[in-house]
Amino acid sequence: MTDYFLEEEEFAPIAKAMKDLPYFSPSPQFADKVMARVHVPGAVQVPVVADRRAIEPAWSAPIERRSPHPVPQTNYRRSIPARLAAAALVASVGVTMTAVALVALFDVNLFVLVSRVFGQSTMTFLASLVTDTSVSVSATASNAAASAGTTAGLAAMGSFAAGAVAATAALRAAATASRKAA
Amino acid sequence: MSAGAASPPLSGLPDPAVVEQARKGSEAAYRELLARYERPVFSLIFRMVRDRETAEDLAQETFIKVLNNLDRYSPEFKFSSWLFKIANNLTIDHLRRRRVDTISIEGAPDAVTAESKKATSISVASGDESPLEELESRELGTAIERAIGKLRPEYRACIMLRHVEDKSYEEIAEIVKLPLGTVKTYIHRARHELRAALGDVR
Repeated sequence: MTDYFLEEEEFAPIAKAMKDLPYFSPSPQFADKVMARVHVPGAVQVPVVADRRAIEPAWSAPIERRSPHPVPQTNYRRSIPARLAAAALVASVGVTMTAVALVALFDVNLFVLVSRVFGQSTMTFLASLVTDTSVSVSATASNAAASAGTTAGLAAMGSFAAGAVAATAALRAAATASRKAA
Repeated sequence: MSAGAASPPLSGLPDPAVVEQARKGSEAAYRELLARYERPVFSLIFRMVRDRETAEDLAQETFIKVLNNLDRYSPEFKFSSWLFKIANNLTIDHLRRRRVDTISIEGAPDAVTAESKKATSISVASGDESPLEELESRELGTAIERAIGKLRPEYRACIMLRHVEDKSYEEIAEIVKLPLGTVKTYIHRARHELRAALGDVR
């Protein structure tokens, strides 16, 4: 017992210094971090969406934006050139289909029919046009075939392909422009 | 949810009454318990592990565990003893995992760069004292921190609970889950080592 009191007495200065040791502080957000993970009994459990609305200012933009759905555009008005082109396309398709039906069903000779409708001079003009066109096309094709594999042949085929691509692009650009104008 | 205007001021209430308020769902009571004990608990853990981030993590874990289990608290024991018990358990477990037996006031053993040594070192600042007293106090305080850091973790916890937190031997035995005789032995040895280490400073 004496030893114990002796020890207490000898240690008293150190004990006093230990009592005066300062406390250290955790970070300022310590309490908030703890409370964020503490369940307070009886606290109203706010649904996630309502909670988000509570912290979101009323004037802010909607949190989730829906991506625009592709809605079919049926009631817009096309431009005049577009309407003319569409009418021409429909007319040509109609005439072609009619001609095909006549030939297929009644075995009609189109040249005779056209000549009767439009006269002999028109028939002669169409015959010469067809002949010239077929001669021109066959000559171009034979030239291309003859020079296939050569530089000139490749250039000719490339120009055909480029022309086709350019024509397609021009048609698509015109269609887009007319849609935007509408 | 917070305590209403009719609720009594929490700062004047004893711990069991504040715990009772918290059990009734008062967030203010939870925050009052945090305000009362965040610094003592953090300091105890910090002096044990000597690393601010680790100490903060362990202190957070302690409070989360305690505040989420207030229903298990029995008012016949001191709230602070229960809190320190959980803090000590978590810290000792951490030290066992890390195998850090002794620590230096100049920085944690695994601190290799100057920055990490500075971040893990302890500087002792005192309050309203004259410059000379402050210097002496700082010197003694720093020496004590250094000497505490060299103690075994078990001794460290016991001697700090005894002389920093002013706990009785019985409370310390309850906190560290050791027999009363073992606690007395640990404190006796810790005092002996501290006296030997501080012989020149006093």
